[in-house]
Amino acid sequence: VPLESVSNPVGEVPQEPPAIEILPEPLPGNAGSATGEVSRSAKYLAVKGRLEGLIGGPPSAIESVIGPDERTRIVDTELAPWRRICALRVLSPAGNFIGTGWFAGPRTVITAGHCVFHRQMSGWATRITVIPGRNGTEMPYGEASSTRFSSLNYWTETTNPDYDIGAIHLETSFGDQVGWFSTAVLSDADIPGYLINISGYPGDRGLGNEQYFHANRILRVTNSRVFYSNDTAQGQSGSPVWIYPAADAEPMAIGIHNYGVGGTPADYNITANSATRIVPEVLDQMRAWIETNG
Amino acid sequence: MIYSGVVIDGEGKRIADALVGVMWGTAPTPEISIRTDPLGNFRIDLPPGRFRLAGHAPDGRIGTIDVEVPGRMTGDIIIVVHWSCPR
Repeated sequence: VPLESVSNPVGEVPQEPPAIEILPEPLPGNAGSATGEVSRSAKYLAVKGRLEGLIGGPPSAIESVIGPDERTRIVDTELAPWRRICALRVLSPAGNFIGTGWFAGPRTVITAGHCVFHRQMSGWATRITVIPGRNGTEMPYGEASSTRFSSLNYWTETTNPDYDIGAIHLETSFGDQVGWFSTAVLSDADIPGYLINISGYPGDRGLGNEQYFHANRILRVTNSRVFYSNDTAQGQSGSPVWIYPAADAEPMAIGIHNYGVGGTPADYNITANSATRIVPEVLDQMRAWIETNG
Repeated sequence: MIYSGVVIDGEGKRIADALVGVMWGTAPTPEISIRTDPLGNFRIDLPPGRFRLAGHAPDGRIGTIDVEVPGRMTGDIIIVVHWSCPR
């Protein structure tokens, strides 16, 4: 057997410094002027902080409710953070729809792009009514309608789920009363461990009039999407996907829920629903919408 | 492709204000819910794949239908709602 000499390196081996990922400043949240009473639902149901590492899922199934339906109805929707989440009534030239949105500024409600623009609507919605914290027949903060919406050109031109984001611009500063979510970009390294919360207005339970919540874990993250095992259903498109960075932290949105398990590539081999991830370019656009419209 | 459909009950009565959505599927579809018009009609955009659509009537009756795209469908997608438990 021919032998070759191998020697240890002499002196210190120079190493490249680790790349520092510079993330944009989060958009600040606001508690709102309405009651500061602590929500018992938030106290007992919401998950906070993180668990290290991703968890694997079972082989891909095909339902948005993954296994038993573990969604819980929220009844104290007049309290934070639930009141920052809105039932949407969407009117379009090709029919009416229901969805979910959430306040990111005093007059800015964020939702899925397909709640403001979609082919099955024949393009743009014509009018959307926003009902913060709806609880059955109760509308604790009333409702507001708008005919001004925005989305991203990548959504309206390609309907790529990676850019499925929309905004509803209200005329009145509803958010000053109900408050709004902080919104942030998390790094690839930081995002996988967080426990996440999703709450919205599904059509299969409560006919879009009742808010349902589920907490669970992230299963996978890509450059532009977040995949998780939280149960959702049709009508919850546009719901906030939020974390609590620490036990005493305010809720921080990191994604916009918009697809059931059919939106998860089969080769991921996970059963997951998914959100468009808040990435720097998306956050910049949200910031612009809020600076322009409030 | 955009398909048209209708939600009816077991007696053929059209159901207004029912909510229709994709319960599961093999391709991405938005998790938005479609409200039927006064005649029970709706439109839905489905990419190629297999889907189960669910219809929820305002009174609580539920119906489902399996759809394949492209498939041999001719005419409307018809969702028949019924009580899920004996009343």
